[in-house]
Amino acid sequence: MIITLSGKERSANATVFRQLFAFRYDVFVKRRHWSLPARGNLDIDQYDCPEAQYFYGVDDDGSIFSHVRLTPTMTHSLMADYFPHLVEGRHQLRDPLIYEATRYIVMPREKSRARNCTAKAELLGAVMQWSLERGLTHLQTVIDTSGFPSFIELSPETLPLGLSHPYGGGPTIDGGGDAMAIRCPVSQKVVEDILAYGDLPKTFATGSRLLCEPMHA
Amino acid sequence: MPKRRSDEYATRAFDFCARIRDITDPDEIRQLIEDELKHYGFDYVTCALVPGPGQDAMAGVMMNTRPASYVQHYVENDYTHVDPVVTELAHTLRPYSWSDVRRNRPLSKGQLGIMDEAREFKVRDGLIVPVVPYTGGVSIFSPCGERPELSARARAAVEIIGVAGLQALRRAIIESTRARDDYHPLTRREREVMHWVAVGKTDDEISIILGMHPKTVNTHVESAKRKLNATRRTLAIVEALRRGEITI
Repeated sequence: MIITLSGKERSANATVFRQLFAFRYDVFVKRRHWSLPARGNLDIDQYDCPEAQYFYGVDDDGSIFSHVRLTPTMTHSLMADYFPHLVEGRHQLRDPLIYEATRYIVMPREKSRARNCTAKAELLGAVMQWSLERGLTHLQTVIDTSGFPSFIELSPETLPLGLSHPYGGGPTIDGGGDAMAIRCPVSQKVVEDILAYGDLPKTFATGSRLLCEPMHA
Repeated sequence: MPKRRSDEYATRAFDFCARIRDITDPDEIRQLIEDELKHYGFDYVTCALVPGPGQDAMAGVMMNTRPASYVQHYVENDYTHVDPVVTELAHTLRPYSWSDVRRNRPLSKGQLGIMDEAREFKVRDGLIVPVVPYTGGVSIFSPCGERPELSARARAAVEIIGVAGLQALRRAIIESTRARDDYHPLTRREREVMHWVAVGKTDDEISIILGMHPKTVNTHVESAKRKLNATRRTLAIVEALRRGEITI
């Protein structure tokens, strides 16, 4: 099940947000060794703002297994603030109709390729449907370059915004790698591409499973 | 190689991605890839699913422009499983060049000989861009040439071209196969059985996993082989992966 919450609902859902930030800390700081402004074993940064929109997947027992954060690029863009060198050409990085995805995690409990694809499609299908309903034109993000094939496979509409560049000392350094900026149009076709990738029914993105009521703590 | 403006690499790569996503004919995609690579000095390219042990090296080939004599020599000598450029995939799934392989690990005389033999066909260096599709296995985009441009920016651009080109070709092949009159999709049960065959399970093991008699497992395998037009199980697995029927 995919749940979405607005950053404005953070105080009303404090426990849920604490779980999300702890999940992110565990993945990015402890496992991937990213240098992040974490505090108290929680990954919280300046992009965790009231304008942010959070999407996350939960198992039947309530444990979180996927997460992504969307922010409006006009006010909160990691790409524009820290990674403008990843973008080449005349792409506008800030636009009212372009949102940015960050802190993307998909870690289903069942470790199989098929389950991973489904979990990825559930999360990104929900994000794309939410964006479509709000009239957004594009979503953009910075990815580790090794993930580029899977984003192209999710939807061939995905386009790079620049060539790949090393970060954190490059791929041979712990916590480093190669990064690139990508952008995907928001469209019904992309929603269908994503659902096909995850072998999900076409009703998934608009069905009752997508946008649940916030869980008030 | 003519000297290029720094932003030309990115621009060409973006244009390629934008053009290739709208093409559905596999042959048009192959032509676009071949033409684009010439700008970087890559004379030949092969796109293929890397064969597993005992699998036919040519069964998973989606595109090949290397000279027929080169390919024949390579296949006849069964180089796929010993060529250091291919076996490097056991160490990394990040893109690398042939010169990286020479530089990064000690190679035997035999291994160096395989790489040197390519020079007889006017091929001195190349890139390997590995792609792991959602169906599993490893596919490679492997351009090479006599004097390819291998600057950091050229490599970054060709890596994007490789990923976008290989995925577009794979998708187009699957769709064109499914559109053929003689295409018969596998049943759900056949897909399940072939998945377990692909990961190396015996009929007895599959019968326990799926709760069916071993003879029924074999019946499903034989039916899948007929639909996939394959005489052997290994060929059927490669074809099922190529068509996107199974994942491993």
